[in-house]
Amino acid sequence: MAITFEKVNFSYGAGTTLARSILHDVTLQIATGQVTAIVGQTGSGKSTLIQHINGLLKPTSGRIIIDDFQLTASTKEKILVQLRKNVGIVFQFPENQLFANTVLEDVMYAPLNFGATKAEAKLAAEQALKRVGVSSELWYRSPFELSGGQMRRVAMAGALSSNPNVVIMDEPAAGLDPKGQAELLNLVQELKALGKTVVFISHQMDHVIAVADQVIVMQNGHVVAQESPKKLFNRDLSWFETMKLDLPKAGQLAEKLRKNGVFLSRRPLTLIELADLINKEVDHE
Amino acid sequence: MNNIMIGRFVSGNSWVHRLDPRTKMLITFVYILVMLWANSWQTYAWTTLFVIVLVKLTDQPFKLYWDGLKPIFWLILFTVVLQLLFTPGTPVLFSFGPLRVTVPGVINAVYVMVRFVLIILMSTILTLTTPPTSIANALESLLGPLKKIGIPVAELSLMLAIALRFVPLLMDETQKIMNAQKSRGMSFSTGGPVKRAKAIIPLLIPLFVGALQRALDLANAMEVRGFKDAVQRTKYRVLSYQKTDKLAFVALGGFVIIFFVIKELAHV
Amino acid sequence: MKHSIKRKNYDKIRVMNQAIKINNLKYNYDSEQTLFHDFNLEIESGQWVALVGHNGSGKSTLAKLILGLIESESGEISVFGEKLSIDTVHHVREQIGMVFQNPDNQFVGATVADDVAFGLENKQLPSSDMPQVIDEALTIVGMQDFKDREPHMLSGGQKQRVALASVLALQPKIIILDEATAMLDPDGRATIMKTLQNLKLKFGSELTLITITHDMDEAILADRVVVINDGQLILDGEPSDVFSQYDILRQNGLELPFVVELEAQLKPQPDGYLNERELIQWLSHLKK
Repeated sequence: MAITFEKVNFSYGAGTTLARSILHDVTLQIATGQVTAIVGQTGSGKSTLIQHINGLLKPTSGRIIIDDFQLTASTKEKILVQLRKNVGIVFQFPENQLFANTVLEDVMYAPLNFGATKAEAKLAAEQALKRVGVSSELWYRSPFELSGGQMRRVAMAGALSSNPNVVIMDEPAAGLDPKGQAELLNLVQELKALGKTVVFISHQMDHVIAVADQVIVMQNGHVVAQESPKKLFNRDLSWFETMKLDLPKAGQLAEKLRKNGVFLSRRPLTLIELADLINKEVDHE
Repeated sequence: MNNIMIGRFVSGNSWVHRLDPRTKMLITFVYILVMLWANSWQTYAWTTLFVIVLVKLTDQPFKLYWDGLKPIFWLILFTVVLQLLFTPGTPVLFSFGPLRVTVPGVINAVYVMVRFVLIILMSTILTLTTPPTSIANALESLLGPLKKIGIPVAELSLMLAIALRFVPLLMDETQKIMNAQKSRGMSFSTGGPVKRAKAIIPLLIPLFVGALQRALDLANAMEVRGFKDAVQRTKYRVLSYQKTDKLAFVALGGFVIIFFVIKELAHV
Repeated sequence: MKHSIKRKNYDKIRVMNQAIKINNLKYNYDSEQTLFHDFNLEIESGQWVALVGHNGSGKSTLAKLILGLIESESGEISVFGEKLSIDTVHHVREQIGMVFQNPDNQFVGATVADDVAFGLENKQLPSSDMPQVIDEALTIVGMQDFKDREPHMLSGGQKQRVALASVLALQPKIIILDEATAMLDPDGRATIMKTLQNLKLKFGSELTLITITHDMDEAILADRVVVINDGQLILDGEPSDVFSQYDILRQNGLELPFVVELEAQLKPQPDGYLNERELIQWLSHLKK
């Protein structure tokens, strides 16, 4: 399922005195079956962008093509349900959306809304819960009795249970501990292995390096870069400064080393690369 | 984003901003009271002029006020239509079936609309130029005498201040939960009334749970910062009437007197 | 005789130097789950202690217990020698400031200045003294230019700095930050950590700092790292000691700080643990 943005503009309260322009001429492609990371400063339009992929927001002008679905300013609200069935979104702090009496019922909500029978929905919910690692003893408990980490997983299952082809996540790692973060990255890779298209917003460049095939960089509502992480993170240091973007930790440390007279032959992006380069450098002497 | 302006404060340093909040509350109160006596185009013109002058004095772009009016547009329209259709009298302009639009109806509709708009503008002036805590402080001070008959004025005003502070947050939260549930296929627009009422549960429960969590967090934060009760506290924003307040009261007096003069003259 | 007097004085000094002492603490989530059981911890005055553990390890509960926001089953918590009880809780809280995780849920005032004022109002500071105290506190965290801003105009990191200023205005001897950076973006996180380092420089041994976190790159900045899990004290010591226990940290759902992980991969390896600055120095010397 390919996603294409063609000259998409968006403003809140378009046509009123309060109109605030958020996205400007956004044109981009997200390839089927790949993992795409969206990065950029807080307020650069990342969240607004992803809300266009399932029609929560409609472009003020331009169009978005999600497989065979076309979204424009005039798309009717009613047919958006078809789109949303295929595009699951895990919002920031998704645990805030839980509502049902039991974990299972909460996760069944999406498939039921999208027309599944009770039996089908239950099966889908169980599958989704297993996928995110919620053990079956918890399925009949109230979601509000769970720990923060468990609630997060249940909420993620709630977005995956309709078996969408596209999975979008808005800062899914926010507030997770190191173990939770590692599990999240595993989940992203698992979803990719299942052939899903994954789009995630992140502030952690080490996560981008770990799982993304493609990075989209946003600044003030513009797409300023769209390329592979490797290419992106080898751009000039000054570019990262103007974009107020971090390098992965390995790259950051390499830059600090450079300032102190330790030059590495290239910019490392992971810890292993950095260690290798340092070892080589020291060996030479 | 929320574009509801009612209750939102915008900082500034205008003449109105610097007025004592009690002055502003009293002006607003007296103004709304006086409005009840308005009954002719002359009196409405006078009250409108007063508000326009005040809006000018706040030094804020008019669009802020316009945005404050927008959310209640439908309410105004509804009231206006009721007035248009159900005011008896002659002459009748035109009619369809049992409904007839009369000249007094049109006049009433216009008056009602003007009254609505003016009252909203007036309260927007108050909230736009006065931080919620100051409004609460003013209320506490003005209602002070009620403490003597056992009404916990200090507690109530603190509650009000905190409630006002959390309104925008809860609006944001509602939007977020709505987005999350819409993404999970929630729809308000299909099905019968029972189904629609049921559809709101996935919205309400997270909202309540979230608000409760916020309340608990806030209670902790308040206690840790030494909050014991609302009574034994000093105030950062001390209320004291200044020269400008006296001037404002004189202006208010002038407004009221001229209003009633115009009203009487219009009758003659 | 002489000896015993001396000894008594020594004990007194030792007690005064103890910011927090937790003795045989017992606390249950509910009737089934015990969190803390015979838990002991002493924190010396003037230290910066990082309290680390994965989510749900009990670290935030411990902070709430210290402040008397929740009650323990049994055991004793003392703050500067004063035992926490219903009678002393208000006095104990006067000495401890706390910054919580969610930036929005602890912003009481309608503007930045009003928020800092809230605690001062509770303390019944005369109104005329407040503006100066507020200015000073905001200057320490670099928010003095935002005095009249409303919370919705601030970023998460800025709100947390205001929360810190609100605490500083009350001049506590101990400040606890309970995952205060968990909901922030890297920029906000960096400014908070920078502010804490400045605080430590400014107040030195007069301020005891406790940062609760699961981010090891933050923990590395502290003088002492305490690792807890399931209400148990797992590790306790200087960063160099704690970070040399790779396996134990991993078993408890934690990672190593980036530099420590890197040092493990280097050949030749440095003698013992180095922080980032030391590592860079060591490498640049090695090259020469």
